[in-house]
Amino acid sequence: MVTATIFGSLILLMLIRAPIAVALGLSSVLGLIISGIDLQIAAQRLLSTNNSFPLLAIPFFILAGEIMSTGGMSRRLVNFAGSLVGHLTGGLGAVAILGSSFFAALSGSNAATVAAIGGVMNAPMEEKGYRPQYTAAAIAAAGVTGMIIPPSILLILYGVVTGVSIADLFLAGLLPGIVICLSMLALNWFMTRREGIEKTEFQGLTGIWDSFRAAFLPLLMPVIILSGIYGGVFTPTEAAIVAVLYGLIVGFIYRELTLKDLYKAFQKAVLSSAVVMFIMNSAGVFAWLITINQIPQSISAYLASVAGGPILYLLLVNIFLLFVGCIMNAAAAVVIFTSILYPAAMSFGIDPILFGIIVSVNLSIGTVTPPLGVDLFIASAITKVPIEKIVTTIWPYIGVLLIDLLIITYFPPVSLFLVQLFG
Amino acid sequence: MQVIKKFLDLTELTLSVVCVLSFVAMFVLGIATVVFRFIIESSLAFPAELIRYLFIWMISLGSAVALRRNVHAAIGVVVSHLPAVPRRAALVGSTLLGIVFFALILVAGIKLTMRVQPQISPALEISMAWVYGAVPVGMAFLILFSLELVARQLKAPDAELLADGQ
Repeated sequence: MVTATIFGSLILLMLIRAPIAVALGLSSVLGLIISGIDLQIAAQRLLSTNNSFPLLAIPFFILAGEIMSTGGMSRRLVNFAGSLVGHLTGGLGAVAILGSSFFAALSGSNAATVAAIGGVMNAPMEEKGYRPQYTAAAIAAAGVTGMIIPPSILLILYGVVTGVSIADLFLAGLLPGIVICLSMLALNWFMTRREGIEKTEFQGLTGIWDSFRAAFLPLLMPVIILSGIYGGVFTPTEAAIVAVLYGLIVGFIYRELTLKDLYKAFQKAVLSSAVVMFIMNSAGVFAWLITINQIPQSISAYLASVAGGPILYLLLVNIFLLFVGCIMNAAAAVVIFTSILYPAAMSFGIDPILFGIIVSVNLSIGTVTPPLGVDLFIASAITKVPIEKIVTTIWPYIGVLLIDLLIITYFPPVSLFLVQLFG
Repeated sequence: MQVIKKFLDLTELTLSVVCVLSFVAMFVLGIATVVFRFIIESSLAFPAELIRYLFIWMISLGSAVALRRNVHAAIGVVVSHLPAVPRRAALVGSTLLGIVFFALILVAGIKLTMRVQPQISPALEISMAWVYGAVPVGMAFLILFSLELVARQLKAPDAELLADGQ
């Protein structure tokens, strides 16, 4: 009865476009009322989720990403990527992909990555004869690395929900991010071969050196963050705070950051954090309620009996999360479904770090799949290409991402090699 | 009507400025905790606690601002395929149900805030009511902005009903 009420009302509320946080909160409140539990528990749970120091990494990494995209740093990263790969076939497409991966190491979200790199790449790609449709598909797909290459908001949320070390998750995300980046570079080369695009000239080693020096300070930031976290110097939250400070210093050194930009960056980061945390808080109430009703345990037992073994279980998880990613915001999905899918994964002996990477890659792919891929919306806004048209061009990218997903799922060393090396 | 809109605009702006100022304070305190941990090799308890409390307030008020800007994550794909009349009904219904949720939590939050008043926070030694108060205050603003949203959803022409947000 309680289970039916909670899940029935949750699904109904989501279908009529209630905010996901409201759907989670109201369905939990109904469950509490039926169970005769005082609603003060709900009010308390809403707040206690927030009262956590590790979660503070989220607003600060979001802020760091916003500062980096206003401070002219995305342009410097693009120039450096351009000197490396700009002269190859489909060079500017490759620049967009590589530049996005560089930016992903400064920012924890796909949306920020697409906005920052797409905004810089759109005009030059159009000038060189890329179809706007292809440009839109490439910059949207390239953004997928945003939440896989550390820092990553999804990995922080997964770590907070499960208690798995965020530092280990970050380290584990690095190689999968590089694999995805390389596979997209290969696809870009293949897809642009016949487009008859004018090439840019190779700037030579001096060109690479000059653009590297110009991009040196932004490129140094992920090195500081990651080595700080693994060297045991910072916690992930402290690293996020340092990232903001670093972004401010670099922005002012380059004289590309005005006070007005800074206020806007703070304002945007407040809104993005509020959206994530509003869901996280309601999910805190929801997760508590379903746990005291033993629901994750029963779902886990059921899934375990259906799947029988880890290989089939991971396949089912992948299919399910890809579907969820198509219709639901990634941060919301990781918070809601981790607590349900995690216990069964543990009972099959799947590595908790690997499982976190699998969940994040799935939901990141969801940001480029229709109908609700946030990367598609942003790429469409930048390039003025309607979403339906981007979708017809982006399918090969989604295909490649699915192959990457299978490799990451069934070949654990891709994620775990670095963790074992440094752990 | 114009007066109400102006009042709500001003409320939103005030909340937004308060959120940004809290965030700036969180950042400054955050730098202080990191620096202190390096210099005296032990972290001070009170900045870490204050950061968390500011964060709670920032998220409570920021959620209300996000509601007014219509940026909260939602699944719009079903509603956008409905014919005009049921679409409007679904959207108005979801906003009204949202108000029910906020109101229930508002009441529970006020009770909770009164109950925790005697509790004192470990480091700052302030009443926990200052912290828990963020819940009812946030809910009150969410209700205020939801009421405006319902009014708009009832009046807006069919074509503009889904034009905002994502």
